[in-house]
Amino acid sequence: MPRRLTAVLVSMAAGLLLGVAIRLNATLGEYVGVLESSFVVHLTGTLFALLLVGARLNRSVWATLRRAPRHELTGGVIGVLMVLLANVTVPQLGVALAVSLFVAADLFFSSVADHFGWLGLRPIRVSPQRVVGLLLVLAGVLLVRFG
Amino acid sequence: MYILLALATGTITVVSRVVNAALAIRIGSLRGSFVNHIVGAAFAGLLLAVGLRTGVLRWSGIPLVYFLGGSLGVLIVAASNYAVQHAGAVVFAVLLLAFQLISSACIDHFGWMGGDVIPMTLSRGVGLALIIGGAVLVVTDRAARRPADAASASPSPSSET
Repeated sequence: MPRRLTAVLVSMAAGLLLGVAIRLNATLGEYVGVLESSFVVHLTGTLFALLLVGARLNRSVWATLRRAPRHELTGGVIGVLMVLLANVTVPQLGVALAVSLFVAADLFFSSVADHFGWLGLRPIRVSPQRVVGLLLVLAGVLLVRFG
Repeated sequence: MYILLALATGTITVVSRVVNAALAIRIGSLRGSFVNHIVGAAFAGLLLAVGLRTGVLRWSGIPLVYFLGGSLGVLIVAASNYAVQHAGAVVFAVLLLAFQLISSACIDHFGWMGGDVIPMTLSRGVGLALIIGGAVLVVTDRAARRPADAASASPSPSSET
């Protein structure tokens, strides 16, 4: 199988699994609490990642990390908050509406961040194509919510 | 209320993506994912340790499958490495987004993995299709006007903060 086709299938599988992971974390949240679930998610993720990268976590990686700006290490803190918020919203809204809202807010905010060059991004002005895309997303979310 | 919280989730996703991209350029995305998870576990553990509680942390009586979400997240990072390298960041981003919505709708429809049943309807299906179509326009527009970004997951300083 050509690599590109494999990569396409892997991308699809990753998307399917992402929906599954969001549901699993939220259900765990209903069992043990939303923050507790986020803790377990990050703890098990740590162990699994360690399994995958294990031997490749050598001294030079730690040295590189020590030199890295502190804000680059805050992804995990944001991640805890993301999983927690997903755990709060998914049981109330259902997975599809919750994920639709995640995606919509993501596309809107990244377009705004692009436009103004926030977060250190090089500015990309909003184009007509992007406005049409965002309007379609908005219409889609409204249909999922009220349709 | 829950809608606003869900929108907040999507908004901070953007911040996390920019931060993680910068870290991934430094040490690679899988090792970056390890750092993310260990920092997250320490942070959430600290919140629990100082007495913040939203439930009761227990291990027994819960089907094992519900403990797999964290590992799946790491697996998706590994998948993104491979997919971005061989299919490109735009193809990966669009397919990830589309199939995430498709699996979410299936999970709701059948009430899989402990959720309420929310049946698929025509308008819901059209709504999801519109989101996917709109996202394709947004993502391809971004890539077209910032060519360096199409390779953002490979070492390139384009998303450095």
